[in-house]
Amino acid sequence: MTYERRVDRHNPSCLVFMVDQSGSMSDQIAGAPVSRAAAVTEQLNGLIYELIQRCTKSLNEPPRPYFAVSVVGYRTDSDGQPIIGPIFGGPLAGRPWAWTTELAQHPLRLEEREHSGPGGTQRYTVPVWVDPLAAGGTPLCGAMNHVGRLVRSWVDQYPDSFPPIIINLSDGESTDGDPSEWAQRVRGLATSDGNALLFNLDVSSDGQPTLFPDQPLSTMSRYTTTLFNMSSQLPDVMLSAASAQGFPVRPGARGFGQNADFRSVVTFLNVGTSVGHLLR
Amino acid sequence: MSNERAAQLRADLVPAVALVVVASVAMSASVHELSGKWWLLGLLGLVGVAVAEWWVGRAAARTAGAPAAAAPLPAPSGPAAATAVAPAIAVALAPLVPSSVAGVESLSLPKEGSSDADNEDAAATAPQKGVIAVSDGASSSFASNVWSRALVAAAIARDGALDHEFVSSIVASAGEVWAAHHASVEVPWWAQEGLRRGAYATLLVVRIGDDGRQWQAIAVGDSCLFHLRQGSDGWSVVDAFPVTNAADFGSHPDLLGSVDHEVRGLRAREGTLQPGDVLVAATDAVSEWLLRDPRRFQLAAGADADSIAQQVRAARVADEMVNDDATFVRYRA
Repeated sequence: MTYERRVDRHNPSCLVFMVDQSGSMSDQIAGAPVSRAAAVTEQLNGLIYELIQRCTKSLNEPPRPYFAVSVVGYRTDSDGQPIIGPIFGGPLAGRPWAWTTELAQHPLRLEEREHSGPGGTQRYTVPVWVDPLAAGGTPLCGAMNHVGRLVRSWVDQYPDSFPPIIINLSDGESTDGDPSEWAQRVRGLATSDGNALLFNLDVSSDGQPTLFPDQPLSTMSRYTTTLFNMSSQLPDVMLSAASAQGFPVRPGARGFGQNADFRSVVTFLNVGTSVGHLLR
Repeated sequence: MSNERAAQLRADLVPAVALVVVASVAMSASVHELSGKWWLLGLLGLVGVAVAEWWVGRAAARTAGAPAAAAPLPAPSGPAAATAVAPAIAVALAPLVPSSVAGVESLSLPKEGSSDADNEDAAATAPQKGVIAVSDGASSSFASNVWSRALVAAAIARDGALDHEFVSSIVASAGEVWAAHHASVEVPWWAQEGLRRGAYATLLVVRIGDDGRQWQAIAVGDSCLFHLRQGSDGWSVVDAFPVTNAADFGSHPDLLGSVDHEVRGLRAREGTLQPGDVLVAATDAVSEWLLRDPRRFQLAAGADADSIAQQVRAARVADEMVNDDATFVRYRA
C-alpha cells in the first residue's frame, strides 16, 4: 500500500511550493481587482498557515516540525535569464527548507484583518511569509528541474516518509519549453510510501472555478490543459478525504485546481484523524 | 561473588588465558624483534583479559535488576529531539459492579515515541454506576487531549438516559472545561485559529444495568464496543458497535466539537450479558486490529493487561497496527 505513512515528528514530510513570479502574473484575475500574483501569494500564505494548524497541538508548545516547507519562486531578469530559488523573507531568507516550527516563529509580518459575518465583525490575524512579485518570463522547465533536485535530496534523506508534495501556483504560460517531461521526472521521485505528488493550481483569468477534475475541461486553454496533464492523480487516501469533505471527486481525479481555494489540499494530508474543515 | 558467578568467570577465563598464551608464543616466534619476549606479551594479554572481565562485570551489575527493555524502535529520523517511549498505563480498577466477581481493567498507550501527556485518548469508569467512557481526540485539532479527558469525565458524572440530550449536555459541560483550560492565558497568533475551531473527539459511553446483565451504549465516531462470549471454540463476538468491519475505519469519523457543539452521527445499541461474558471498549487502532483478525479476540477477552500492551507494541512495530494512541477497557460479567 502507498500513501499510508502517517506524518509525525519522527516521520516528517515535505511540501514544495512553486510560485510563478513572471510578468503575466500582474494581470488581474476574473471578477476582482486583484493581480494573479496577489491571488497566488494569498493562496500560498493561506496554505502555509493551514499547514501550521495541522502541526499545532496546544498552547504549551510551538507548532511541531511535521513538515519541511520550501517555497521556490521562478521568473526571469531583464535579459531573460532565469531567476529560480527560495523566496522566504526575513530570518528565513535564502533557506531552501524551513520546518513548520520555524515558519510559525518567523512570518514576514502579521496583518490584522476584519471579517464581517452573521455574528458581527471579527478581527483576525493573517500571517504573511511571501509578498507578490511579477516580472519577466516563466521558466517553468528550469523551475521543475530545480525542484526535482530539492525533492531528490529530501527522498534521499527521508526514504520512508510520506511522499513529497509539490504544489505549483501558476498561470501556466511556460516560456522555456514544454514542462511536461520535467514534471514527469519530478513525479518519478519516490519514497517507500509512494511517488512524489505534483499538484497545480492555475490562476489564469479565464475559466470557471474548478477543483480536482478527472478530465480536462473543454474551456481550458492550451496552457491550462498542460498543467492539468502534469498533475498527479489523487491517491485513494486523498480521494476519500476529499469525498468526506463534500468534494464531488471521481476516481482518476487530479491534484489540479483552477481559480479555486486550494487550501483543502492541506487537509488531505495524513496527520492522524482529520477534522476536515478550513479557515474562514 | 556467588558460586554461579565464579563458575561463569572460570568458564570465561580459561579459554581466554589459553588463547593469550598461544597467541603470545606464536607472535614471539614469528616476529624477530619479539623473540624471547613471549612472556611479556602473555603478561600484557592477561592484564587485558582481567580489565575486560572487570569492565563487563561492572556493566552487568549496573543493569542487573532493570526490567528487560521493550523491542527497540527505529531511530527517529525527524528534526525534533527524540522523546522517551512512555510506559504503558495499565491500571486494574475496582470492580465496575460491586456484586460482580470480576472487574474492569483499562489500558491506554500513547503513540510510540510520544509521552502520556501527548495521549489524545481518554478513558474513565464509574464503578458504582457501571459506566465506562472512552474518547479519542482528533490529532489534527487543537488541545484534543484536554477535550477527550473532559468528555469522559463529564460522561461518567452525568446520570439519565443515554440519548441525544445526554450527549448534548455533556458536550456543553465539557466544552466549558475545555474553554476554561485556555482562559486567562496569552494566546500566540498561531494558536488563535486552533482555539477558534476547537478540539474534536469521538465518544463511546457504555452503561451496565444494576442487575449486571443489560448494557446500553451510545457512540459518536469510531471508538468501539465488543460484546464477547466464550463457547466451546473459544471467544466469539456477540456484537460489535458501532463499527463491524475493519475496512470501515477511516480518517473522517463523526466527532464531537469543543466549540461547535452540534451532535452528529449519534448511534445507540443495547444487549444482554450472560455470566462470564466480556465487554471491551477500545479506540480505533485497537478496534481495527481486532476486527481484522477475529482470532485476536481470544487475547482481548483472556489476556492480562501487560500481555495486551506487549501485543499492541509488537503489532505497531510489525505494521499490523497504526501507530496511534491505543486504549482498551474490559469488563467481565
